Amino acid sequence: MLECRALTCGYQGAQVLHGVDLRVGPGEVLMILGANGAGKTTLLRAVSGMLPVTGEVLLEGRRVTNTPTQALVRMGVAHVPQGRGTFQQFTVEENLLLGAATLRSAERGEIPARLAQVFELFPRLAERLHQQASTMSGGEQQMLAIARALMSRPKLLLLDEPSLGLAPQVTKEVFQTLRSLKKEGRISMLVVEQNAHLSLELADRVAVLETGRTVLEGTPTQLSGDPALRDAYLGGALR
Amino acid sequence: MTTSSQRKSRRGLSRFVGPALVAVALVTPFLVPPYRNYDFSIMFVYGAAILGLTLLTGASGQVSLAQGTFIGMGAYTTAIAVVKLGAPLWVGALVAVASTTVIGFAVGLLASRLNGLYLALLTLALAIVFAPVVKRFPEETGGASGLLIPPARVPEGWPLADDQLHYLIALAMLVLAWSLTRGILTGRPGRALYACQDNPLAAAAMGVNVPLTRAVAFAWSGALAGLAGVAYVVVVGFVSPESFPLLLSVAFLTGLVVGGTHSPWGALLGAAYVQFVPLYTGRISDSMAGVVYGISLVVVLLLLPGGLASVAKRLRRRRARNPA
Amino acid sequence: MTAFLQQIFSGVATGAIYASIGIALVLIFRSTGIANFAQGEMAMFSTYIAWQLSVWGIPLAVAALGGVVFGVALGILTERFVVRRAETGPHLNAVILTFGLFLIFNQSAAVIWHSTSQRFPSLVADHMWKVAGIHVSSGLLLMLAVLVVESAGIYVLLQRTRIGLWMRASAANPESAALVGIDVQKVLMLGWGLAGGFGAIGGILIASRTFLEPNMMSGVLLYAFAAIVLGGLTSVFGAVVGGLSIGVLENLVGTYVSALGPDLKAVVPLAVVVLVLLVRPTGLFGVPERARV
Repeated sequence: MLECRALTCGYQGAQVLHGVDLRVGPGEVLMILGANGAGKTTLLRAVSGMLPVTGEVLLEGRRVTNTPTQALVRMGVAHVPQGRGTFQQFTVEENLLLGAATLRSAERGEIPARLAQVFELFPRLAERLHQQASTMSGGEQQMLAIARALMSRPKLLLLDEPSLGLAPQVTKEVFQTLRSLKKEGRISMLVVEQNAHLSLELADRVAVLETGRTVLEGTPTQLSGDPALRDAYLGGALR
Repeated sequence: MTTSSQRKSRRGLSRFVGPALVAVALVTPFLVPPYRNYDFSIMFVYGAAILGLTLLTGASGQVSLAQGTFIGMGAYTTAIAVVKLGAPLWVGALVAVASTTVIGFAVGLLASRLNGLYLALLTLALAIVFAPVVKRFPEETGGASGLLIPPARVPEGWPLADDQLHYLIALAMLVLAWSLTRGILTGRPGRALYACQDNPLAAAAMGVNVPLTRAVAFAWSGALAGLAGVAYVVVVGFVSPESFPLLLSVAFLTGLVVGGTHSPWGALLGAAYVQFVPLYTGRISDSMAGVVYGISLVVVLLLLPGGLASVAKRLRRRRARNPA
Repeated sequence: MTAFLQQIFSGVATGAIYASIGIALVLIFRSTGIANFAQGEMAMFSTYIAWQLSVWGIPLAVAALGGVVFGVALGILTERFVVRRAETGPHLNAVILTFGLFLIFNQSAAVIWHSTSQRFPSLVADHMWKVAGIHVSSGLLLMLAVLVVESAGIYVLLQRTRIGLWMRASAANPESAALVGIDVQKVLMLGWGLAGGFGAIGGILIASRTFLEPNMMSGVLLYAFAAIVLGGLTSVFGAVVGGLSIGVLENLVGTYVSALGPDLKAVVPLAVVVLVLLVRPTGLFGVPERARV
């Protein structure tokens, strides 16, 4: 689905990624772990075309390096950024309709079906359709952000710390939804997450990022089996 | 990056450039016809005004649409002092520069805490209100018909014509404006100005009073426009409400950008540009100069951000990179 | 009393013009943060096109429409080929750039059509009614009608259509807009086109009321800016309310404050801008500015 080869990128003078290689297979969930400042968020931004990069990004085998963000969305990449990126002053409905912005006018008939599908995953959003996004709780806003991303029927979902700022119970709910999404098997995910416990339950594979390089890759079982790694990257979550 | 040896050699070069230019400028009025002296004198007036913008816009990052209006204020103040109050020219000049400095400071203070849009609006309003205000007080300003100022006369026995004298006075004003600007830009105040533009928060953290610094930049630019206004009165000998339109102020911005915003040399190049383009385009139409200004402003802004003054620097850098 | 009402009524009509230009300014400012100082000149140029078409014998209504279409095209081309290149650079450059555009449009008009003022034909047959002692001319009614149609049109576009939703989203948060697949650049271009169209409508209204001349917009631009400062810079509704208020205020001051009189009423927008800054910097309907990093 997604492949990055020797991806490097940075902000004005300061290089953040120094040659990242990674693969996400069809229907697979790849979890990115790493300390603060390791370049996780930058990696997601690089993949979704928000930063100029060198190296190669392949989407379903097609070279999409430095394709503009909006074009990538049309190719099936949906990115839920850190801080969610919902439109705060807009209603839930408007946010969801914006998620379907890639639909051509002729395909607009599909919108109700997509809405219905999203509401199945997040029933609460249906109740809040006309509420302004900024008035909702953090958890609801995160759900809205994910729901909005799903409105474009992505093949690849990029999630940047979906648990950030959420209460543990709410985080669990969000991950529950992500798991049921994964079970449908139509969507690949690249997830950056601090909450190692929940993410290892969701992930098929894990990659560890350290100062802009992938230093390790493996399955969750391999990773949690290694005590040194467990201490270094997973914190106390699995002890 | 310039190495210290390069910098030293450049300083050595510019040690010659300054005096050489002044020498050429001093000889010129005796070699060219009077109407050329007039052209050059006007160019000096514009030069002083654009030097004000070098400080205000180039260094402190504030846009003014009223630099021409400030010249008008200086010119009118001088004219009123001389014609209506019978003061000698030098007294009128002092009052004029003092008043444009104070007005500049006041405008700067009003806008110093606000974003650039409001400053631009404020100065736009000044530029538009100027002519009606002048007409509103015909007793003092001569109203719509303007004021004639008796020309400065060459003292008996000096080997000078009037136009040459006016040229030299304007040149003196420009040299004064130039030294002031250079002094400010190369010293501490210049660094404070740039700091306020680049990163106001950091500047404030380092103890720079940002609003005050911005207001002071406006006062300086007002002072230089005042000087230009005095020179204008000397050279032209006539002021009217329509002499200082909004288009003049926009032309100065053009001169600033085309010449180069970050060096006083740019202001001189820009003044020459603003003064001499109309002499060539006038054959097509009076307004053709404005079209050329506008296009050059846009083109330079997009393609040559350092203006003409940066061309020499670029060439030098290229030569340093591939020594032939 | 009727004289007073009469002044208010004509003030509203003038205000309709300011509102029209104000809407154009807001459309650009809220999506790019650029105050387009060339807006008035673009409007003036479009108005000249309408006038030229009618001089060539094209029916006035069609000619006016042609001017508006030209305004839209001018806005789109300006964004596409000039402004876009400056959007990523320092903000100061973008503002100065609009002064360059100001010169280009203002002076090209003077080159092409000369600086003498032209009479723009009346858009409607002259007629005067007297309602409760107030004179109501067909010209003034037309202005109000145009303003109502404009306001309704922009409301429906922004609030009820998909493209309007995209425009609002791009203005509110360009990065998120790109993340949902909106081509923000195209939307900005469209915004400049719309602004060009609204500006052209304003220009044609002014010209039909007074006369057509290359410098006719410099004062109007100032009033329109004062209107949007009063309305809160980013609010289209604010531009309408602000424009009407400034128009009424200007008329009242010009008539009743003899110290200023009709010549000096240009201080009105100046005073409004200063007052808004001191009392309520966000204007009537503005949202407090978020620090952009």
